Amino acid sequence: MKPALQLFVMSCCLAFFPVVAPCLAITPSETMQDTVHSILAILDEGDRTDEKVWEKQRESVSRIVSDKFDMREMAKRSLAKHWNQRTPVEQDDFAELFAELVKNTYIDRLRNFSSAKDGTSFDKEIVRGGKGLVPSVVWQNSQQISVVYKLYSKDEIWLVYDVVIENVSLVGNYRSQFAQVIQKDGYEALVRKIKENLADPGKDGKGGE
Amino acid sequence: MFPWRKCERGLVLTFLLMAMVLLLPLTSYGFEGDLESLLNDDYGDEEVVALIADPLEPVNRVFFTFNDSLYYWVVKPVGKVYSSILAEDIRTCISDAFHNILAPVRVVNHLLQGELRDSGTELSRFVINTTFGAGGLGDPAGEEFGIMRKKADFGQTLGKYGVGNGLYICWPVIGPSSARDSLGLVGDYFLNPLFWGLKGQGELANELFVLKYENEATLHGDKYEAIIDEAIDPYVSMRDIYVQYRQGLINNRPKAGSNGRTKPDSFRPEEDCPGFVYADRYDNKIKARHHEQCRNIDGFQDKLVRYTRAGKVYYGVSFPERY
Repeated sequence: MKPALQLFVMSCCLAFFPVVAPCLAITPSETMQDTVHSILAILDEGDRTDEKVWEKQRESVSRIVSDKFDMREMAKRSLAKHWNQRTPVEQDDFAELFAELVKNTYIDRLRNFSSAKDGTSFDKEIVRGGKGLVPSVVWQNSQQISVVYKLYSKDEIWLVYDVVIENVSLVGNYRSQFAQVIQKDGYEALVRKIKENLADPGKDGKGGE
Repeated sequence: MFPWRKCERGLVLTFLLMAMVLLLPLTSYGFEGDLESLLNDDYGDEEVVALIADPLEPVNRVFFTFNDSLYYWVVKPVGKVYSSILAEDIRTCISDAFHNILAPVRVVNHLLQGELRDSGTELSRFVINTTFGAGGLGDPAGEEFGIMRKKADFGQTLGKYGVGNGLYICWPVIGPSSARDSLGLVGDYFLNPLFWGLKGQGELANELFVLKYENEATLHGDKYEAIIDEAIDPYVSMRDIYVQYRQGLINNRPKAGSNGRTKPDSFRPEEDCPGFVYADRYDNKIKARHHEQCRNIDGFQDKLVRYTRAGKVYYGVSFPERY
């Protein structure tokens, strides 16, 4: 009887393993829902019009973004072939600069997000190989904005490496810009321009001011 | 105003005939939406190729700067005065009305693209909004019936039939376009009821154009400013955004939540608490409770919910369905 019991226990384990295993790992969709809801939770705290409160909220949001968005991967993809031509120190510096650029741009936009009127909803995820797509809709001012998060699995954690807003890829957009600036004026000019942008966003626009 | 008016009938007929001859044999083509294609992005060490040919870049840049100046020096200041007179709701109504009157453009283009269902959607939106929405000033089709907008234009139709972008063109006032989409604009112009309705009233047509332009700028100007602010090279950024956006429309990528109204998503306990939208594991219960209190003060009937997933305890707030 004993071997039969063993066999029974083993086949039970084998039968249940495939069901249990995927439940344990957090999916790309869960990762994004967790991230977005955590950010919304922070935004709901306190009065965002107050500079001091906002500064604190901004810092908390920035921490979550750093956790879940692989800024180094985004920077690498944005720089494309030029990434490998840089020294490790330059790569580190660039990744840091890039992270600041992206955070500056997107976190500040959240300031106007009204959690009472606006919201976000998620569609079914697509997972292929080590990558995942999480489609979502952001409802703002009664408009629907399509936002697709692209994630990849790194050490069993899902990290965002690109965001596609209304079909426009963030990384793709930076790739085009960076390639043209480097081709025309070189890598140093690109770094200078990013630093200028961080110091004074929109310097190149605003009616040629 | 329109120097080619005398021959316009001939032009229209030629254009429609050309479109029919060129496009009708191809209507059996299927255009499957493909969100998954977004994952084909394993960039190697290859050269970054611009998405669109731009031999006119020096001229385009001049027009880009002109448009940018026009926005910051004229459209934006005028928009401030305009917005102070007309509340946002009214401006949205005006925008909806312009959108509604252009329904024939979308109905016909969806048909040309073989998208019968979308064509019907736009047609029913037009009927509902024109009747129940006071001539298109409101959007009851979307708000009450959940029939959402389905974009379509002739440039997109041409793109679906395999016509490439051609050159990038930054038109003065109109802004970013391509050779294909500029041709598309001409096609859509003939389908625009205002074009036929305002024949011989060039001045009124111009005024309406300015009103539409200004109205849209007050509603969406901040998006333009955000793009310009974050860009390292605003001209290249705008060109790239334009091409990526248009390509997305042509590829028919299903828009997330495009099946109408989607409820705000939740984690797992949807069955127990419909409308669950908020959960926080960073600062857990205290925050959720605080959130619950705030919401209830604001008039929402929220309820603190505790649940576990993968052995971890989560807290969140659920509230009755809002969408």
